Amino acid sequence: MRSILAIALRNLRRHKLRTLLSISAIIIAVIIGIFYRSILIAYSESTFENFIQLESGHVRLVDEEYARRERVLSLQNTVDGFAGEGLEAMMATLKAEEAITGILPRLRFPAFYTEGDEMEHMLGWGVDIEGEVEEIDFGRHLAEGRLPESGNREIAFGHSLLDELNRQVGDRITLLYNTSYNSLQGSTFTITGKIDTGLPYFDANIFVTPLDQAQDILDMPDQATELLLFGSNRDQDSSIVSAVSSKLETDGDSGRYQLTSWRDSGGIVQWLMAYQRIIFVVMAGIVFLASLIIINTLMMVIKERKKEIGTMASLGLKDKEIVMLFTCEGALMGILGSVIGAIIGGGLTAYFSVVGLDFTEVMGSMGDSTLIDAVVFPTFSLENLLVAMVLGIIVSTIACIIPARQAAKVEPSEAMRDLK
Amino acid sequence: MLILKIALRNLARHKKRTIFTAIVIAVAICFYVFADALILGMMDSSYENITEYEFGHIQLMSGEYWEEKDDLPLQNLISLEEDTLARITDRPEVTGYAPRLDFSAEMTDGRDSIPLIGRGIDLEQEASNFRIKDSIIEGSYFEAGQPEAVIGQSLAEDMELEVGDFFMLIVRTRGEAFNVIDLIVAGIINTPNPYINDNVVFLPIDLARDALLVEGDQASHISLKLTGRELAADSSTEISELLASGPASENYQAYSWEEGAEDLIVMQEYSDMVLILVLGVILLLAMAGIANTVILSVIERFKEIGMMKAMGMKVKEVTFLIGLEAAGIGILGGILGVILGAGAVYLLSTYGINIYAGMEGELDLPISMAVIYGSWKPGTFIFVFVYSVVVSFISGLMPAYWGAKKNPVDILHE
Repeated sequence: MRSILAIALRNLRRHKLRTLLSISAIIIAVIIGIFYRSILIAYSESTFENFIQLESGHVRLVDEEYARRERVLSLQNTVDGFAGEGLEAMMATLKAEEAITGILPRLRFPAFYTEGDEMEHMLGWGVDIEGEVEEIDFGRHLAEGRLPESGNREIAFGHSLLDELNRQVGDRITLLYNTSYNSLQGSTFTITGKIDTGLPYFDANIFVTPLDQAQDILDMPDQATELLLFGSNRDQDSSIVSAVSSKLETDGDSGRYQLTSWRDSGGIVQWLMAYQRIIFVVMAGIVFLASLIIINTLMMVIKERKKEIGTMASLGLKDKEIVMLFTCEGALMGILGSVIGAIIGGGLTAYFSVVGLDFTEVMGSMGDSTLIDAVVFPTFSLENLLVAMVLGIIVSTIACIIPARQAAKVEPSEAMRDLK
Repeated sequence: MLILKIALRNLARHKKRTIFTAIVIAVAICFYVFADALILGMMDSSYENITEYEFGHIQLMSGEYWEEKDDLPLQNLISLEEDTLARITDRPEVTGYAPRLDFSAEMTDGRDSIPLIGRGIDLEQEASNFRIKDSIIEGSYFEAGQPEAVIGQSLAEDMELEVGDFFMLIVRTRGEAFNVIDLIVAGIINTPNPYINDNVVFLPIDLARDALLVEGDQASHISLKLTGRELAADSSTEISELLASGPASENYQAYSWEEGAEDLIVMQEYSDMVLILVLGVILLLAMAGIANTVILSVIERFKEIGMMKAMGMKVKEVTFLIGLEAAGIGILGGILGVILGAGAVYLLSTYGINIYAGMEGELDLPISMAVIYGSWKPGTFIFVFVYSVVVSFISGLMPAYWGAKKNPVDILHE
């Protein structure tokens, strides 16, 4: 075996051009594989997390009618408990479920502000402030001031919205809204904080106020528009759905409330998942391309060395060993190429994981309403590197087997025919 | 030329391999051409959305209004003298004009309310220049003098409104007070423009002016239609100059639709880039395929090559010959690809693809949600064909050279 290895190494050095070409192909394929995948993973992760934290939780519970006409954000079809028993009771019951580790109630309502002849539309979120801080670390988005406290008419604004309204933390502001009885009312709030999530979707449109305040001003006691249910991790969504569904069955409310996992919430999540599949196909294509190059170059080499192969065969080298010889060459090139590719690819990823890639220009105004972060920090993961390396080695080894088996079939006598 | 004849004959000798490789190239070309036509169709459709349903080709408005247009202010409105307007509409490329008064409103039906945009329009002008009237699927276009409105289908569905139903628009007037506009749904429209379908209520402009306390014939902007959208850029520059001769306080300008559609333009540039990348990858694959074929054929024909060299052909000539064969495969593949591609694009432009099936309302992008019809771009076909021939030739050269260098004596001995 050692001698085969030695011969393989020597052969690689003999055909420098071929070795260089093949290794380059492998390096490029591995770099692309590592780097692009790390970008994709990063922004899929961040988008999924954004979506889960801001839109759906792991599972979202809403009234069916509400979901059907969600754009209208109707305050008529709310979550008001099992059989109308109230939100608090419902949340207590649900918390008892093993699969559920946290619940965030939210009351979303449209509001507007007028000054002069202009009307500025915005969206208010009545939330359980402490719950949000605990469950999704909402406090990390606080850029200035503090989050509003329950029991007080206080709010925190998304930072671009605050700028648009020409206000500062500490000011007061009167906002107008329609209550659940569709009566136009106004309330004056104290602005306690400024929020920066990095997503214009939030920062330019939303303000946050304690749930009890929202319930009060909208005349919606013990209600919310949606419940975000969380498990220990986002793959718990199906267990949460089944646990809650059976609860809804027993309480007779299964026709009224709707449970949606974050995966099925449509829009950006499914688009990203489809995109991931497409990228997988593209990567496979690149791998195929690299293999073709390896195969081609090996075929040329084998043809050139027919005599040599025949000689070795006549000296007792078995077919199997000939195949192993070329396979070894493939494996060695694979190892070298994959390691170099992994180092470069890993380096690129590490660099950009700190510096970040800025896609704001490419996203244009689509960035205003999307949950995709404009600046992406590729995820540096050793697993990614390892997978790419192993794949590189395996593919280049296999790619060599095909022409190698052809080479082994050469009759020694034929190969040596012109030996003088 | 003798070399050409030999190359052709050689290609014919290995029909199966030649055809197989040619097919690989043809598929690659067909795919690229199809993708190009599809994207072009998508872009066209999106541009149409903008020019035929919303922006028009050019908009005339105050420079100050343009800066603030997203806020829908009622300040810095435009009002043109009759002869100024006449000078503009008399221009050969201008086919029509339509004034609009846009304002922010809260639509309510007594139960629910949503924020949206009210657009006061001149009934006749809007109907003759834009496709709003043609998009009516229920009810009818409104009549002058009636407190009627036309709304988009998704808006109607969400608010559960039908033709004949009442609703109200809460607005903020120029006098800095609230006002309510009572309207009846006259017609419901469905356009390929999701922005219009979801967010806009069309009503008579005089009704809007009255409710908002806007005097005279002021408008947020005046939209112009031209004979073709490619004329917009130049035309708007000239019209801006024309308008600049008015009082400086007015600061009226003409803006072309491209300025109003920056996102789309950026998206198009981005997708052009992606397409080029895809082309690169696909043709790299084709190159590898050709090189593969040439290597195999050269290996089989070592004796023949040796013979040719023994008869006096130089290495350069042998290389060129084999390179020609490779180019020949490229030509064959190119022709096949162009035919296949043309067929695919024809199907696309006749029947279209509804790639948005099931995605209505899901994406917040300014893309048209219509059925996409491919657009022909003969330049793409030519480009891809030439590219494939050249690339085939080049990728055949290296293996050709490798084979041609072989010592004829060694080869003949075998």
